[in-house]
Amino acid sequence: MKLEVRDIRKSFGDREILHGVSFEVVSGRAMGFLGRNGAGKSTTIRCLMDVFRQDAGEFYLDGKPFKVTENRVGYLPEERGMYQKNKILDQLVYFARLRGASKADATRSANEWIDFFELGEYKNKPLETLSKGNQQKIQIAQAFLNDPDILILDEPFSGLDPLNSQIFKDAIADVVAKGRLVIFSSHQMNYVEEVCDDVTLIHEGDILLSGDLKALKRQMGQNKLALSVDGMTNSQVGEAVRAQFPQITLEHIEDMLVLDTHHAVTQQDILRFIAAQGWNVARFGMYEPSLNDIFVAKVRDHQ
Amino acid sequence: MRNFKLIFQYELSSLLGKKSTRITTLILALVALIGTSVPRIITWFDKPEDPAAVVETLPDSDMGYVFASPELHDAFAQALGVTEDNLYPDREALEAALNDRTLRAGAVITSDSQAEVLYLDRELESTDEQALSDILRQTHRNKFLEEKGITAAEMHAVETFAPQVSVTVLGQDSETNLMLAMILMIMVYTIVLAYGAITSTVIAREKDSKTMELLISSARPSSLILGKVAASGVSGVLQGAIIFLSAFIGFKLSESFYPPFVLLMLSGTLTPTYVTTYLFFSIAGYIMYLFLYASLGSTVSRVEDVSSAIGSVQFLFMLGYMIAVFTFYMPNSLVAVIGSIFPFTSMMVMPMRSAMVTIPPLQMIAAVVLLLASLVLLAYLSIKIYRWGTLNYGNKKGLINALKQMPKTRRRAA
Repeated sequence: MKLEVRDIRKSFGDREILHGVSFEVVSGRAMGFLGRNGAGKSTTIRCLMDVFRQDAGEFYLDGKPFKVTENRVGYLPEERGMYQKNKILDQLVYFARLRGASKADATRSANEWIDFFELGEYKNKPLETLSKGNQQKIQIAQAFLNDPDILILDEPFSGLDPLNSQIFKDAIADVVAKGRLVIFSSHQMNYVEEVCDDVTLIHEGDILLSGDLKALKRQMGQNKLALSVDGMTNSQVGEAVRAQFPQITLEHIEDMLVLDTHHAVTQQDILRFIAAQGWNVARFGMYEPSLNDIFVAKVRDHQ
Repeated sequence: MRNFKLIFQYELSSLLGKKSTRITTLILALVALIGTSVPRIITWFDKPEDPAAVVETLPDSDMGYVFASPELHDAFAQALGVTEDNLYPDREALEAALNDRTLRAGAVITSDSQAEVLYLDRELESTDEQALSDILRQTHRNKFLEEKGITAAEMHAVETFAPQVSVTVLGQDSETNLMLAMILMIMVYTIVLAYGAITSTVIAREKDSKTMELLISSARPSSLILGKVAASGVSGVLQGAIIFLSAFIGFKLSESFYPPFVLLMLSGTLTPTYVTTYLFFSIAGYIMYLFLYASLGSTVSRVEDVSSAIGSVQFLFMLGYMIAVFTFYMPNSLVAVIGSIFPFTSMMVMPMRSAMVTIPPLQMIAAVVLLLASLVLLAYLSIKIYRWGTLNYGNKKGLINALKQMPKTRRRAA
């Protein structure tokens, strides 16, 4: 199953929020949809879910126009809400049936997910009687109802405590393992890095990059070496390296110095230089950027 | 219309499952049952009259009398029940008896056409002057008849002569139809106001709690709005039916205790024509108003904004009520005729008019067509406004703004 987002444009009033957003997601892989607050993640997802209508562009599923109500889609909106005064089991069954499940399947699925989150004793109580954390579990559970083919989660980890986050990550991993298509928007890079196989980065309504996370890391780390030396600051090390190899570009990332060789200098040349200096090397090797580094670098390039 | 039945069932069970709905219905049903049983209940507290007690009250021993002449005493003493105990020689003696509270009231008869009643403290329900006036008038009348040689029996026969005049009403009888028409109109008025506000609130609450985003991504807006309006509509009709049934049971249990004129009024209106008119205009108008209320609920994002959003429609609806009340008095006036055809007022005015007068067929057809057309148009608009409302989280937009902005939204989406 392949979901294609093609050239989506959306304006509110006279202000265009999405400037031709395009990317692809395939089943069996979780796709992290990344961006700062206000970048256009939720607007893209709402267009996909037909909450908003895009001004231009189209969504395709396996080459055919995608209609959310004609597919088994689980959705967790960024602004989460359910009926506060209705019984938990009743409303989960209702949402599952709205998405096409039979009453028996809906009831079975709702009970399964209530049990998964260990909330069985509350299932016949109104949602408002649960703590905020448990309400979040129920809201997450509704997205997983009825074994959806496509799971769309908008900022799913926002407000979750570490324990619930881990339970949720396990649930997502199960769904991905079943070969389902998962889109997962977030501005929390660590969660995306842990859960997602692919990433799409959106900034101010433009897609900056999209693809396999590992390949992106390799690509972004190509020709780059990480170096740190005990007893010296990165600046001191940088000055010495630049004096020897003026063609190298230097970058300070976290507690290390990243050397971009631009194919002008080999790793062996640098190793020989370090040995000649007699430095006490704490770290030396190929540099693999974190998702956060990629994000920062791409946004900086765009600006 | 996929999911319509599911949405309808869920919304209906949510509405009927509410404790507040069940308690309100129970209280109103009890009030209706007790209210219509009042004629029977009153009899539980009635005491049978004791004939001896009635006799004892005559003559009124708490009342004293002074006569200006012996002739006046002879003429009125028997009729007034004067004895030696309550006869006083002059006004001063009478006032002294009143001041020491021996007497409750006193009367000074100065001529056969003039008298004065004295009280120490006059109570609200004191009617001694009226009773005295009646006795003076009766005595004067008898004296006059005697002078003319007419006996009291002859005079009574003349006064009680009753010609037989029967009434045949070919159309509607306003007099007998008034009460039931009024009761039914108030019932519809109450249900529309209550369930209209509930419909608006249900939709606004979905936006407020962000449930709408889940709903709109799971079902078509048309199914959602039609399911919700149908559930509110049926819930209101069920509640009304339970209350009406309770009232009917109360009435049937106490029917024999109702005064005949009330029974006549209640029986007059229930002709098949009236019942059909009432049911059609009430139900169609009710549903039309629910769509209007649903549209207004879609224009706000917070529950607390609902009351201000529905204010204008409440006013329009109350205008219909006022015209219906006016129709009681002038059922064929221009205002009543226009009110019975205009779709936003016809639901109350037309049943009221049809209870009062026979409606010309053309007016009836115009009212039916306009009401149905408005219902369909408002249903269509409410679906569009509901859909539009999901695109406009946050601010309160108002119905007029919604109608203005909808075409722009559609053009952009196209």
